[in-house]
Amino acid sequence: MAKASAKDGVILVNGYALSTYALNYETNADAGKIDVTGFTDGCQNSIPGLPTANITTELFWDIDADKTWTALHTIGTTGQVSILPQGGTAGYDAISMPFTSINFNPHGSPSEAIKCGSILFENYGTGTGMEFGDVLYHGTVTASTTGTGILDVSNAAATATCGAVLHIWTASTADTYAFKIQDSADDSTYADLLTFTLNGSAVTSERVVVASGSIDKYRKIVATRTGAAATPVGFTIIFWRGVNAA
Amino acid sequence: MSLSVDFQSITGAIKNLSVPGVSIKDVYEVPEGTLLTTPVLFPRPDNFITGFNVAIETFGFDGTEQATATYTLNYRYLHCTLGSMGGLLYTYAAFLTNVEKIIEAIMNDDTITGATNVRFGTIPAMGPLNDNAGNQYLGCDFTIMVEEYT
Repeated sequence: MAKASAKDGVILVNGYALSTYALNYETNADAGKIDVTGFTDGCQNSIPGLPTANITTELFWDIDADKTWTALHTIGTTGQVSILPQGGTAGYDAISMPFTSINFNPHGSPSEAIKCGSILFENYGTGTGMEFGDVLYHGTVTASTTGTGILDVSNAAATATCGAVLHIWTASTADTYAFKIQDSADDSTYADLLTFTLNGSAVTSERVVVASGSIDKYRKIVATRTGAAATPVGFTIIFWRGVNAA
Repeated sequence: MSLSVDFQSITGAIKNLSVPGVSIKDVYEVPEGTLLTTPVLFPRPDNFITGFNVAIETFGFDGTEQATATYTLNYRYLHCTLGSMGGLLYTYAAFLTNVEKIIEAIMNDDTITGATNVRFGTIPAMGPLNDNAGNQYLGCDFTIMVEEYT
């Protein structure tokens, strides 16, 4: 693959699907370098320090329910922000970060559409900053659903920490759902790996983490419906294994 | 949601402008000859829409993305046949008065709101101009700049 268009990008902020309001985005993962240059060194030497991470995105203004005003106007909001640079196809890379929102600066001029401004999300919490993972599912379902197995880029199991982010962007109005991630060594026999507490009844997000353990190379999602109304739930699940893993 | 443009709302709003003494036409009533109908303002059937451009502004696909369509609508105002009514000495002042009224009517019109911006553009031609049948008039071309958020 050569260049990839950014046009199919997906931007999720605490469950709110804001892609079609976002003019651009920029993610920044920084090692926080420390200068350790010695007197006799021939050039400047650096080592990684305390990492920093932030995401910036500029968006159009919309005061309708579940749009940019609702999602962004409260400064200091915490939650999960996720970018799916090439779209929601299962297996594509994804970037997530636990955030606290830093600003909200609407602006406009008579010859332009109103914008929310360039919104800055800074890393927040006990994570390690930007989490590079894979899309396990992005779509809308009306019944119990099992995703396809996604093979880790390393094609191998590993002992590592892992985590996942669930964004509910279309809340189910009647049914509820149980969401979990399973792993497998052969894409045939799966075992539960991560379980979310959200049940799909509200637009929101959740991040779950497993401290460390053996993680097989295939992962898939399982969404189990309770109820029979078949009301749609739209959700995205992103999985990552290992700090800054792909 | 899907990308869309709406020329007719704009041409309809322009038709409904109030300019005393001037007959304003919509796209479905463009006169071929105007000998009996001046003063008249009508959409130019040649190059009525020019400079059409769509800028995709947000992420999304299959019509979910947001875009801005910009284009120019071209109108022609014909005041009277050349040489009529005693020549320019008697007609030019009234012609300029009507041009002024048309400009003011467009600039002050608020009937189109929301996701569409309509602004008076330019006057690319003023003087001897033809109707669609080739008759020559004292007239003026107007451009109207449109931005539609889709």
